[in-house]
Amino acid sequence: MNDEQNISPPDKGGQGGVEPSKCEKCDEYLAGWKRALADYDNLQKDLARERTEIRTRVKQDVAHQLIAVLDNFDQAAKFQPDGLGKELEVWLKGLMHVKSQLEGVTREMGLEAYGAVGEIFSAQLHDAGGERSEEDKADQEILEVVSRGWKLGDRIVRPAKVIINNKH
Amino acid sequence: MPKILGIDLGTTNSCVAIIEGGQPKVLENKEGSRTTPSVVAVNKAGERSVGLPAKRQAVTNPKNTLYSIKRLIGRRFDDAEVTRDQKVMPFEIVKRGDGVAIKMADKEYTPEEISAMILQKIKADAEEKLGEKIEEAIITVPAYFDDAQRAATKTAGEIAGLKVRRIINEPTAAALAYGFDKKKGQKIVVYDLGGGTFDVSVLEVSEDTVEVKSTNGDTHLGGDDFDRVIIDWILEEFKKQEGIDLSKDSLALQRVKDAAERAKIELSTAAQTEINQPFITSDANGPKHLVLTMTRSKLEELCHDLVAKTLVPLKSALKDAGMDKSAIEEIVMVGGMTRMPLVLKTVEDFFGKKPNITVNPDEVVALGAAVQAGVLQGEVKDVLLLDVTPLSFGIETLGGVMTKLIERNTTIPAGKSQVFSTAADNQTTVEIHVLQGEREVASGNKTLGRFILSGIPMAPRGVPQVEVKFDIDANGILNVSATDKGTGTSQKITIQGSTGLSKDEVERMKHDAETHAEEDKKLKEKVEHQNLADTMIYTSEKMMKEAGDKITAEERKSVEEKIEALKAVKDSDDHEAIKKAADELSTAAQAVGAKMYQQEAGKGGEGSEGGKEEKKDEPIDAEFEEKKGE
Repeated sequence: MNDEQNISPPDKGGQGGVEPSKCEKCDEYLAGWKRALADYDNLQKDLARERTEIRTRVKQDVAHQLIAVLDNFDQAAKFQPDGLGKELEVWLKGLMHVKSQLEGVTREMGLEAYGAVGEIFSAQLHDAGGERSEEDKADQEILEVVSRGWKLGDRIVRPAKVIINNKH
Repeated sequence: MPKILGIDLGTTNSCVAIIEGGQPKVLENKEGSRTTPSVVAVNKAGERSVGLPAKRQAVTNPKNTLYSIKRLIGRRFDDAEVTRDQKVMPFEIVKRGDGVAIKMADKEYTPEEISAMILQKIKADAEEKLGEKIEEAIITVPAYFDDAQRAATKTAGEIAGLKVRRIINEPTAAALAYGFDKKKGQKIVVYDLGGGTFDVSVLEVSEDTVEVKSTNGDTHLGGDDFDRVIIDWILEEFKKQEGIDLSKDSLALQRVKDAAERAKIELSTAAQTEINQPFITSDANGPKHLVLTMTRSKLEELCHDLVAKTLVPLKSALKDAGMDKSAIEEIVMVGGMTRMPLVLKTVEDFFGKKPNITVNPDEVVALGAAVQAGVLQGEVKDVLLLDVTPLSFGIETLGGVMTKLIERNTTIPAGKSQVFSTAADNQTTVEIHVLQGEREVASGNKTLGRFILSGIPMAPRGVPQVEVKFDIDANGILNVSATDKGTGTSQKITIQGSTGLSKDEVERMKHDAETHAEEDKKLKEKVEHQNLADTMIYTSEKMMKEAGDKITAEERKSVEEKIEALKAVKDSDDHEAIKKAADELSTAAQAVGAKMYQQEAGKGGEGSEGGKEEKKDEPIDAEFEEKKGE
């Protein structure tokens, strides 16, 4: 590292005492050194970014698994039979509390559910699972939500799967 | 320096990578995915979407959702592939000149224009991500693409506003990603099983190019076929169980499709998986649940024929290249389906050697294109070669073990420091024994040098702080210094050529460490337990001395008994017994210590110092307690 004394200042007049080839080498080394430092600095920034990104990804992965369970709760609710006895009603209510608890967990993770009947289809948010044609509804209106969509901040974890109105 | 994109413009999905800091890196798209579906659509409002949004609306807009356009690019209208696609594609393929055009929202587009839309999105997303304008790209194409198809792909790039610096073959790109272009004469097979196509290529590395010796494949064999056999099995099993055919229920079928894909992925790592889709449908008897267990052997039984089918083109490609399979040195796996253990095993059995799968097979082509882009943009112009330490460096610590300060494979120049302490009361010197190697046992490693740091003030064990600093410069010269932080006394040693070991020597030492790994681990554990026991005995005895009459004779006896018990076992090989005795002593000493603190607090006096393992601001426990690393 004692070579530092040998580095000459930039040759302003072009008449410096250092041979051009040596000077070129100095410039090359200095540029390489700067690049290495810059690379390191950028790597640190990238790592910080990546750490945040990894956290989000892990959250997303966990979210995916939780969402699948919530989907099945939703699905179960759709099949709820009529005329349940009082005992079964209370039991079912208990189960639905378990669902609410799970929803609480997803909320705490920053997940937000979306997608409702009556909204207009957007391919940015929704995934068309099928179509029907209903005259009294607007074209591209969501007629049925097969499974809710989920967002984490502004990132779509899973689009809402919907059936839309398609007026041919 | 403006970046050049490396683009894998795929039939089903596309991927883009760049070179950053000399390394290829995949860029995520705006939606946060590492691949973009090669799908373009126009909705009723005339809005165009590309990628994931286009795919999401495909079901309701099949006529205006274009996919697999790569099958049509550069084709003549009367090509067999075009005739076939005309029959199966939901969108309209028409004749334009000798070539083809596709109708989308009443307008006709050439395959080049459609491909350009995908490339435009890739370009725009990359620009947003990198915060700079992108003007150039390298695009990959299948090795079997003819001149017209290559020219059309280039045109697509140009329509998208990209100067296409090169069109390179996909298998060549995959080989580049692994750096297999260096060894002249090397023969490589690239096995690419994607979503919808299977390609196999035989490559040979020549002077400064990678030559494609032969290609073969099946343009309609891929992941979709594998999914289909799994879906069919699930549907059949459900029908057997419940008597209901789910294939007629489009929503249920979609859940089955999702479940099949998940099962396929899970079975790449697990031996069995559960397909669990409750409330999938219902009949007069109430809701029905789809719950099945699928084993890997079942999956392999179902997919066996499909995988076996890939061997036919593979054999033909080898034959066309005039090569025997034994001549192949490297096999590169491309495409998501190659993650399937059955695929890997089939290929391995065929060649009798393990295929390369360490680079993500969905991304390997784009990464290779980026490597080529890096060469073109001169990112690697002045290569500054950095050396790495072939073996670890460290010092010997209490119990004859090696404490590593610089791990092997660390890029140099590098430095690291750690604070150590004394092992005995009133120890005024420490010996720094500098070692190199991978063994846990100090004596199993190579001694690089020794020196003694003296003049450490007399103090109880664990109190002095000796900072040991390792520094290796770019020439492999290792400087080791030890400084007593209390007095500032310092000693150092310089070791020349610490990285200049012969390859054989490095290998021998690594091998040595591997063969002794188990016994070394045991010895290290033993030393750790003994050190812990020593520390426990030392602190407890010190505490007893300082406690004086603050504790009852009974309490003293209880601790002293436990001290004796630990002393009796500490030199044995019975780790469990040492741990048990140490735990018991710790519990007894803590109870006494807590009582002493309570008494002190009750008196309102200052806290006693001689208590249990309570540490002061800079805790030092034993001789090799880590303090900080740089």
